Amino acid sequence: MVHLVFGSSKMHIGRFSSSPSSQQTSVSYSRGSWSKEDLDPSTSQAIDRRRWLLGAGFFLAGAGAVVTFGSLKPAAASKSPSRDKSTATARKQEDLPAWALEMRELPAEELISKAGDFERKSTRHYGDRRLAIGFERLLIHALKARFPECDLAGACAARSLARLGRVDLVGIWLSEIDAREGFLETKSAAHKVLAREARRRKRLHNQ
Amino acid sequence: MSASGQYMKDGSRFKIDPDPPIAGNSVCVTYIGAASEVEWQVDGDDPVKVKPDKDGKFKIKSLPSGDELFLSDNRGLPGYLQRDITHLN
Repeated sequence: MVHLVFGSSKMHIGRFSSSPSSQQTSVSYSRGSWSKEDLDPSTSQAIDRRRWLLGAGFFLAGAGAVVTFGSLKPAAASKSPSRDKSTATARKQEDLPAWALEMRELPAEELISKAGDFERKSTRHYGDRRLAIGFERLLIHALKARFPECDLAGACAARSLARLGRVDLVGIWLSEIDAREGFLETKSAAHKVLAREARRRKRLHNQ
Repeated sequence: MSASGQYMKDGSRFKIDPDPPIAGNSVCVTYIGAASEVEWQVDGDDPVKVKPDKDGKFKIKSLPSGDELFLSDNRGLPGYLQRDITHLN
């Protein structure tokens, strides 16, 4: 019988046998032949205690990792380009000016009435596509409004969308209303926007 | 233009001369509406408040260089006008 001694406790790990007939000391080791009953009570208790301590240790280490990485996660996520889309959208909306958020919620009549004010405000945000949603809404409501508001509001929206980098929407809008009568201001504004964009592209192509 | 009416022919309360306006030149503005004070603005610059005379006229002495001129009485869409600024050189 071999006992390994760990500190104050003893642990039996297997059985060794010797054959006295050959006068040689041959030692064989039979693996897995021990059971808990083979251990003396003090060793068994020591193993139980060790297992409990090991389990508690793993639990504490796991909890520590959760706390540590949990607290680090937002900082890491803010630096990562693959951050959560909904969080990013919410953050972008927070950055929007109040008038841009107002444009998304105003009743149609009021939106059309204030179209000029919104256009003037858009002049300070060239190329900011996030602000285009309100003007898209304005375009849609302008189609349903009465003359001359429909035409004036449509023109405001078309110019603003171009300013905010959505010339593509102006093109789509123009193809929608080109066959309709009226909308002279809007058509004129849209044609100017598209012509300006064509000149810009030509200039870039020549460079 | 109909001075007795609420709007100009194009539905706006403003009329400018010359139309389109020219950068560096003066612009005569006529306003038909109830507001005692109106404002004009070039591009994203701060708006300039002006009180039109009894005939509703005022003058922008030298139009700053820019892309667009905006006029507004802050009373809805008919009281709003946008024009592209012409550059002669």
